[in-house]
Amino acid sequence: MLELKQLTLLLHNEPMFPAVNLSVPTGQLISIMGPSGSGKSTLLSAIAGNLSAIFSLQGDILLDDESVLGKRAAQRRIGLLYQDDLLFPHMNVEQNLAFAVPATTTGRQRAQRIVRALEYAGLEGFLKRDIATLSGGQRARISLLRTLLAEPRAVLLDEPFSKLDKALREQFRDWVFDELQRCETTAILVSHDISDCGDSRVYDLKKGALL
Amino acid sequence: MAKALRTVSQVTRSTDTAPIEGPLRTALQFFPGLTATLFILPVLLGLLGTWLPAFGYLPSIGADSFSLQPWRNLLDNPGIGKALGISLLSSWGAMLLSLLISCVLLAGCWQSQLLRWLQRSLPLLLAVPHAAFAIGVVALLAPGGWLLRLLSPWATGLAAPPFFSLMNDPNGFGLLLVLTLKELPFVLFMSFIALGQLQVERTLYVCRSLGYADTSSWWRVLMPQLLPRLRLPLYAVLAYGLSVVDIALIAGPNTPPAFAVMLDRMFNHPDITTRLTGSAAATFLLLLTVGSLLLWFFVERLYLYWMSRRASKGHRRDNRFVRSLQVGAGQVTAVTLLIITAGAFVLLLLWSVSFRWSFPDALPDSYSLRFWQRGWQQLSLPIWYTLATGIASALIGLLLVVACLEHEVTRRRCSARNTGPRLFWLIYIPLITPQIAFLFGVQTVLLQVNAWGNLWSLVWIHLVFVIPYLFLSLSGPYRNFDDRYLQQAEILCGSEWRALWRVKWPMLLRPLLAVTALGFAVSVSQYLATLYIGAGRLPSVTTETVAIATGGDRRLIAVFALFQWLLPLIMYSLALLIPWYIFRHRKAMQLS
Repeated sequence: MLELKQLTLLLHNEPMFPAVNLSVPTGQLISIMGPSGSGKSTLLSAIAGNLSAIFSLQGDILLDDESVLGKRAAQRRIGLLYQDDLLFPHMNVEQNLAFAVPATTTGRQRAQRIVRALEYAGLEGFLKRDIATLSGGQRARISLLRTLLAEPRAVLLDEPFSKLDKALREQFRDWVFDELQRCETTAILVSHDISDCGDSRVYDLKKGALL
Repeated sequence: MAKALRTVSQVTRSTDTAPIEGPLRTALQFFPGLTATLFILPVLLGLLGTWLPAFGYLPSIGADSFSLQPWRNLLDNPGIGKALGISLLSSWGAMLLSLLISCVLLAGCWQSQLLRWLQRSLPLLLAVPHAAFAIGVVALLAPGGWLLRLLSPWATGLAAPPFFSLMNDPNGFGLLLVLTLKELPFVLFMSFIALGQLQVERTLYVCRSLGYADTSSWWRVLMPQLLPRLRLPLYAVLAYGLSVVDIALIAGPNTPPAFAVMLDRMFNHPDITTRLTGSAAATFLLLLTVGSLLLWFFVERLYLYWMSRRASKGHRRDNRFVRSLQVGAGQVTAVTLLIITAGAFVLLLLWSVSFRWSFPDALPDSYSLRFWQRGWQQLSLPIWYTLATGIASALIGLLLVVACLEHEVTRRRCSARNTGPRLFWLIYIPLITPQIAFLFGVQTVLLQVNAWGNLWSLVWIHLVFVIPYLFLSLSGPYRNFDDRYLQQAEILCGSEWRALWRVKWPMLLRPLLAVTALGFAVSVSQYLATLYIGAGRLPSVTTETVAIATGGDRRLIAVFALFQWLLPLIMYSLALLIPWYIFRHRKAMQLS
């Protein structure tokens, strides 16, 4: 479970939004809505542990009842998916995915996980493909697969559909929600577009309440 | 109850949320200080080791009381006035000409294919060692040089080399020309970097919308922004021109020579008391350099003031003739620079394989590889020392610079304050301090601690010059790297070291290898540093080349110069080939 307790961010000592009190049960997804500039992405950066030092934070962030505030981003095991896929251009598909799989797995297990993940995404045969030859939708799917293969305790999605065209957007959104459910991953999605939220519960950042 | 209290305290605490640093990042904080110490310390120690003898204090030769006698000896030196004149003419002339030509090129040829070619060629042009370049240009333009051979006798009517010469002329114009040609790529390179910080295209669009022609916009709007950003590089050009010895030996006059050459002769005079006069001369050179830098500062301010007044008048005169002249001059200059550099290289190749080549034949009468054999025999040990020193200083320099830049990037992430490079100006200290003003002092200090003529001492002194160039070249790509890749990698693999090693540095492989090659080229070029610190026991390709350049067999000189040229060329080729091979199946990592 991911809990945000009285969480707010301050910029020049001014709160960016009303304090957030939110609990996301394990395996569930909540969408956070707000207009551009309301602090949605900054909130995700704070949860992930990448908050710029020009902001200060009040409140707490708990993951499975444990505060993550004292931990570095790399230690929090919170995945982050941006609107840019940020696939590593010097690695092919397999290498990008393998990078995320925990080191505790054996070589054979890693290979199996990667192949299975690609099958779920409908990308069989893409193992050795160069990233630069993939379409936008394919890259977006591989980016999510990579995030999930790292076995995060939670996933944060920062407007992941905004760069996709309308037709692909709906398809990809549904697939993302299905994958998160299948992996029983707790997730927070931020967007300024209500259609990105699907059937998930929606929290309005400006109002400070669930809709 | 305790849990409730803990929860309340957690809820109400306000946290400074700078990303928490791991052990790797914590270790990096020592590198800026270590690096600065490594390359500033020799300069400071060296200056002290030069200033004391300048006032008569050098106990190792029995001079243990302060006096002004070295200064009196310096002023009594015949030819000192002319030597100073030659140095001032060549250094200021080269700086002003290279700046003017760069400005004309940029204003006249912006966005042209020619300028793009030139920009891509700049790293190669910069990698050409000074001495080899000077030898090639002198061979091109000398009385029996290739230019005259190509034009004789059909255009010039000459059947024998003329007596007049542009090179080694008594007034230093030949030296001025070679210095200008050598500094032009550097000034252009720094201009392109500086222009990257200005929104050139948008500025031109806005100026066009206000009724100004592009060339006019360049001079009135862009140059005034560019000039202050070029201040430090131009200081480096001035300082280099005043203190250069190897190019002055090859292309400059002999009697009297440039001031730095005169100084060098004092340090190497059989009469060791002349070292004191040499120290006074070196101190004077330092003062002259500081004075020149201050003068340029005022000239720059004056120019900016004048240009701002002119620009405020709103004149939108578009003189087509002047515009065409600028474009033409820019194009001619760019082509000339490329032709001269390529011509110098080809000429050296021809001389190196010629057996007999009479004037005015355009090509050798007969060919032979015997001078390559002789050259290899004489240079095999210097080549080894050059490779060892060059590779060591390039790799150590790279490690230090990457650590410093990584620390800077991390601090930027972790600090609310503007953590722009506060110590950036320190990088320029070795570049604007005349080498000869502190190398003698370093030599003295190393002698005291029994480290003179030691390979690691030589690597250390080379680092003093390598690190600034590495920093200048790598800082752009490193600071502009999209850090979200690194954040993503750290989240995915849970290790900052792994994220650096497997993601960030491979993605930066091309610039990392390019600057390593540049560091190697800078090390290869070092003449005075190798001479003074190597103690004659660690000869390099450069010291051997300069040694024979002023009196040896032209064919052997050509071989030596080519070895000097080829070593960095090989490194640059590797820097291009290695990423090309590694990323041959990675389209996004290929050069566009």
